[in-house]
Amino acid sequence: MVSECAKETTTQHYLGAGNGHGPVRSDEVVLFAVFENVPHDGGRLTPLAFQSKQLRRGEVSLARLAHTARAIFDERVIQALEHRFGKCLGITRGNVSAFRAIQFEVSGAIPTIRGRAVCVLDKVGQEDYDGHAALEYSETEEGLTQKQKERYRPLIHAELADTFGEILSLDRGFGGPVV
Amino acid sequence: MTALTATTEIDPVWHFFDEADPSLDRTDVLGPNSLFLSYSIIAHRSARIATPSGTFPSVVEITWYRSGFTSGNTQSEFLTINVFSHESRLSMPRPPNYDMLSISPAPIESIPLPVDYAVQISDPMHSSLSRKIREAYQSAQLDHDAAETARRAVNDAIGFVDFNLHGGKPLVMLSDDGVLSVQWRLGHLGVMLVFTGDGTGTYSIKRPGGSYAVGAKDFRLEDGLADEVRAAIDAQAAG
Repeated sequence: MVSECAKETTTQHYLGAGNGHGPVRSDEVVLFAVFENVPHDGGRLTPLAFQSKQLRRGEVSLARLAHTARAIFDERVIQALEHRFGKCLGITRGNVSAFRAIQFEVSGAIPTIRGRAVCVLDKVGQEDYDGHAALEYSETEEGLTQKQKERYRPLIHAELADTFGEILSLDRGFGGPVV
Repeated sequence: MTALTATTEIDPVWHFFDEADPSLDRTDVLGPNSLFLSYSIIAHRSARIATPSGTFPSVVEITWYRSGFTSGNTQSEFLTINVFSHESRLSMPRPPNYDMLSISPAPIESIPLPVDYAVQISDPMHSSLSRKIREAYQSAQLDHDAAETARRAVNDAIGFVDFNLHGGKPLVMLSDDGVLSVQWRLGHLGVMLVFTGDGTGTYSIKRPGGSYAVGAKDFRLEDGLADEVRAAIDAQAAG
């Protein structure tokens, strides 16, 4: 069976294997910082919070809750990005398993094309902290035609927005389970 | 004196239609053949309306003025009207919600209406939705390829929503790759329409336990909105 997210199985840490916290487990929780300029409506992200270009490159930044101290998040995410994206309004969070469960299905294709929508990667660049992770389109999505991608990406983005749920205060986002 | 005048608003809609397919039907709003002449409406700027052949609508934005008012008068009323041209449409039934101009809510003199034209005065939601789409286009910063996709997608979307959609206050989104989507959402349920600028669209209804990305369907814009989508949008709006 062809892997849909081969990159998930190994670390994408810039220093290579053995560095950072290793691949993101499905039982982890990830955080997404919401700034004033991040599209949101009614206390939730809108699909426009996710850009195709960023998802193609695996550049939608997440913080792994289990591996990111609040102080690190404040310094490396909020303070580092507020000058670009406006005041931090809070965070959204979601279970990694929920993101990995998002599927897409292309209607009209024979056979029907179905697969995972996104991968959750242990992706740490030189400028990142070790608890950094990223969302990227799955390898199955790459196999679609350009027109199919144009049609389905907004739907995937909408599903991502729903999976993150409501925008929480930093205290609540870093707290226990959100009911 | 009760005569009314109007001025066409030259806004991005015109630019979209200026670049429309040359096979489209066109009708004048200026001169002796003006659609509006018989209603004592004077369009003082030259513009043309394009209507996809066999479909509708043309979108014309007209500011109506009471006699003696000027273009700077704040009491002018801004409406969007969809013109249903008679050309090649005699055999077609009048689309739902289209009223004859003479019984429209606009303050127009009761001049007999040519039987081969019908006009819809959109409700404010229609007008604002078109406007939101144009605003999304105007505020977007896109690279060259995406801008071309966006221009076509926005053109498709404006033509489609003004005729087919009513109710609710959807989100309008233009993505970085130039795709226009409209979303009605209520909690984790919702409806999405996606326009990619090729005369077709994709719709998805997210039901309890479902997903936007599974079960979406493609459709031709000229076929209009499927009943199940209309019902789902109405349900969102009512919620």
